[in-house]
Amino acid sequence: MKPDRERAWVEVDADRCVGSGTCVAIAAHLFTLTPGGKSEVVGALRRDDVSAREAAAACPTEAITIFEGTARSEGMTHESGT
Amino acid sequence: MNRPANGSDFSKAAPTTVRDDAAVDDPAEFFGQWRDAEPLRYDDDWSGWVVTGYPEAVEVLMSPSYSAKRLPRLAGDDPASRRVLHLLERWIVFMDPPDHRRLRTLMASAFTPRAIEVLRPTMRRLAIAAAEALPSGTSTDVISKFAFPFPAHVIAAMLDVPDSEISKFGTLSDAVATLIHAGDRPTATTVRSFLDLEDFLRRHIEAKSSDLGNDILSNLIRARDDEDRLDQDELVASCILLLFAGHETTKNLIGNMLFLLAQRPDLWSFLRDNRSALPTAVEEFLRFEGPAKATVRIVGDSTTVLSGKALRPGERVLVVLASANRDPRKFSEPNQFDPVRAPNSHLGFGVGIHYCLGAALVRAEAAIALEAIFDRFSSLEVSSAAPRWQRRLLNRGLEELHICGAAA
Repeated sequence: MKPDRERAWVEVDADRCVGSGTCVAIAAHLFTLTPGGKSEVVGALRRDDVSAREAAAACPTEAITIFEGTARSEGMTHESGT
Repeated sequence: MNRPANGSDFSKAAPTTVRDDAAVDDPAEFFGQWRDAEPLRYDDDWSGWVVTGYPEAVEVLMSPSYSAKRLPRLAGDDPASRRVLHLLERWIVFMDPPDHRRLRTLMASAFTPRAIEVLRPTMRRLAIAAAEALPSGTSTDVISKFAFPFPAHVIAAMLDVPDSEISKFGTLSDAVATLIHAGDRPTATTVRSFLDLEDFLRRHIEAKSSDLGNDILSNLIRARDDEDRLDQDELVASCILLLFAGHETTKNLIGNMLFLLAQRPDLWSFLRDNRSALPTAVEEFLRFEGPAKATVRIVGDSTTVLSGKALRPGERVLVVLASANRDPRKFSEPNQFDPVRAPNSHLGFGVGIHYCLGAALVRAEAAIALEAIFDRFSSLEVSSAAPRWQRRLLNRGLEELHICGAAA
């Protein structure tokens, strides 16, 4: 399913992901760990959901990218997450 | 140790407390028995819950119902001890959100795989220097001569701490280990060595403040000065944590790897000849004999159900990573060392918001250390009687490891 360009969505780079579970602990409604030990997106991202930003900022391998419409912010380790 | 010959009731047949020597000498066997019988049980002697299974461990570490603030029982009542506690409370490993999130985000950028990649040449140089200083054809303690100095020099370089301070790290480690592992009141010696390091770091940070670079310490100082996201005590405490965590657990991992390799010539040859297998092998070392044997959480403000049992607020929980990592419900042939095991979702770095900040650094250091040892020696032999494991509940590491290597 192609993400709606007008809405926000979140992706996990499986090559970078080491399965730390950080994102799952922060936002279990958005992420889950697969049996293979990788994070997978399971929920739709609402624009007002700050937990996705927190998860992206906390990810130890910068594996989470948040897309907002056509804008894109990656590896947001410098975001305060507010 | 009482071990009735015909005890059908598990609680009578096996040691009943994690304080037993067997938990130190053979944790895989000891905690494995607990896990297979009852992955969550209460240890009356230790006064806390003990989680030994994989899914149960993940549940505790991922859940906001458990707190990482596990220090209060250590409080001494003199000003110096209170000062040590004050600093330890500012370690992210003992913090819960939201303070944890603020500090973790500040420090995370210094430890991403990209940031660690830049350090690889420095790490290689330090590993080769440490390996070349090891004698060949004669017995030497690779813990004090290699497993300690290599990561200690790496973290010192990352924080721009002069080599002359590194000899004090050993005392720091003993101090911290006594404080957080034994759960004892701080002794005068541990308090003094901790506060000596604080003094040094305050002076070091002030000197560094007028000469900022792109290193992690400079970034933390900027966070304090420019953005007000970190106060002075948090900055000093974080530096102490990095110096401690940056060498102690890596030292134990390297020691555990070398001990296993010295006993397994087949594995030694395979990895020495197949360096591309080092990344998966390092993960397997972390699973099979990782330096973090267990960690502790405190049940939060409400009663929490785990594995059908009610855990009450304030009760402590020992999460045994070593036995979770050998759980047959998660890993096939869990007691076999498979250097190319994949996937390998071990808990050697924990899981959840407290997942080891330095994981990428440790992964790089472990592989680089082995490469340096493979280049230095063609074979290894343990050259002393059975090495002694540190008498720690939370750590898995050798006190000494005397090894004789043949020059490559």
